[in-house]
Amino acid sequence: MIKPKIIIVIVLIAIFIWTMFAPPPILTHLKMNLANIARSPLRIISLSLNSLNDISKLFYIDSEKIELKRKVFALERKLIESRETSLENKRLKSLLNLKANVNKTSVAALVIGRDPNSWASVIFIDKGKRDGIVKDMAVVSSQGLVGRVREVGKNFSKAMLINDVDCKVAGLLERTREQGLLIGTPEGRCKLIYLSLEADIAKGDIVLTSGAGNIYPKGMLIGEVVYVAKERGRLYKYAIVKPYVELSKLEEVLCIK
Amino acid sequence: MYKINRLRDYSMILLAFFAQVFLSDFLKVGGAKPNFMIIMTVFFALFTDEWFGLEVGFVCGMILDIFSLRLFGLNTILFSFTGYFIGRFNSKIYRESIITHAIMIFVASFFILSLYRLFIGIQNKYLVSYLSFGFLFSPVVFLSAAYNSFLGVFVYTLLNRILRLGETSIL
Repeated sequence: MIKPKIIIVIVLIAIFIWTMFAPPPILTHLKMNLANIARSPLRIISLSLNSLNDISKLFYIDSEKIELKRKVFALERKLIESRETSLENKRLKSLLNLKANVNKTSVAALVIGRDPNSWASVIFIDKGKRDGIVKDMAVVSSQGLVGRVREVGKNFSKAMLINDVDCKVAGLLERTREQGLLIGTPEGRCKLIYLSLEADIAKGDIVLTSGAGNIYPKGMLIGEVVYVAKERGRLYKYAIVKPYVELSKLEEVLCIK
Repeated sequence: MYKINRLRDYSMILLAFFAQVFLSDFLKVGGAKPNFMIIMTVFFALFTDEWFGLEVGFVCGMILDIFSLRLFGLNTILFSFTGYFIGRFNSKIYRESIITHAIMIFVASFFILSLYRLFIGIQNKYLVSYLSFGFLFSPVVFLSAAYNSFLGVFVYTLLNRILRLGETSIL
């Protein structure tokens, strides 16, 4: 006679096997419906924590200093963007038939949680299909690129951050126009790989999105180079990039397409 | 002896989940994130039996999988195994000891995190060429396991007071 507990284990294993080999759309739909249940409690806790955080800032931090820092940062960003625009203009002038098409849709969303798994950098946002979010929308903040939307539910989505191991962004160095691929590491750092051995890269160089791949808009700020080295056993250099966005302190984001 | 009360036990797991979602990034040290779900799985597996250990491991792993972008079921399998095996052999160890508890959390964390890392490496086209002993057992895995066992001591002390498990020893 088989014990009922053994039957339970067999049933569980069967469910595992089914979930592992089930077609991805069905599984994603199932996962997102289950995750959707947690949306409201996550949103309430997240809003409460953000409010507490804001209150504590009022007591402990000089708000004027923050405002000035923000202004300096915004001006620096504008300067970089205008430099980028002027370089871009020069190139565009030479391409007579190029037609600019910047008709983007955007949705603002609140960050309501983070992936509880180790070795993962994913955020949960409180907007989904109902609000116009679609898979592979780029996620940005006022300081630069954040990541991209990977799974979309009715009113809940998961976005992968640029420092996640599975995230890949085509990047380029603002100063030298050298192109590379920005990937995340399991430790949550950003690494720009496939840079040629002759590439002129220095600490402090600004990294932007190159626009290749059609997911991330071209010229978006990513971060700056903090370390450069040759990849051991490979014929290319890599650079460690510090993102401009404080990925661990995100509160609101903008999803754009 | 610990008496299973599913409503109370799963409420605690739910609290651990929210702590994991909202605090793990703030409590990150040197790339190591605390994992409260491992701590809870080990706690319940140590104080109950293999079947409840399996059940808690299954639930904790399933919750993590629902919120993960990676392969669905991986955490469920790893956590269920961990819960089952710790529950199976808990009578052979001195489970009232905080040190035993810390060691079990370290071992469980090491098992789960290194296997999860192996999976990430296999599935990622770039990382697969870097798969090595050094990648799987990188210092961050040891650090995460040590960090979990350090936090586990506090969680254990707290749960011990709430649930009144009886005499505990640091040996």
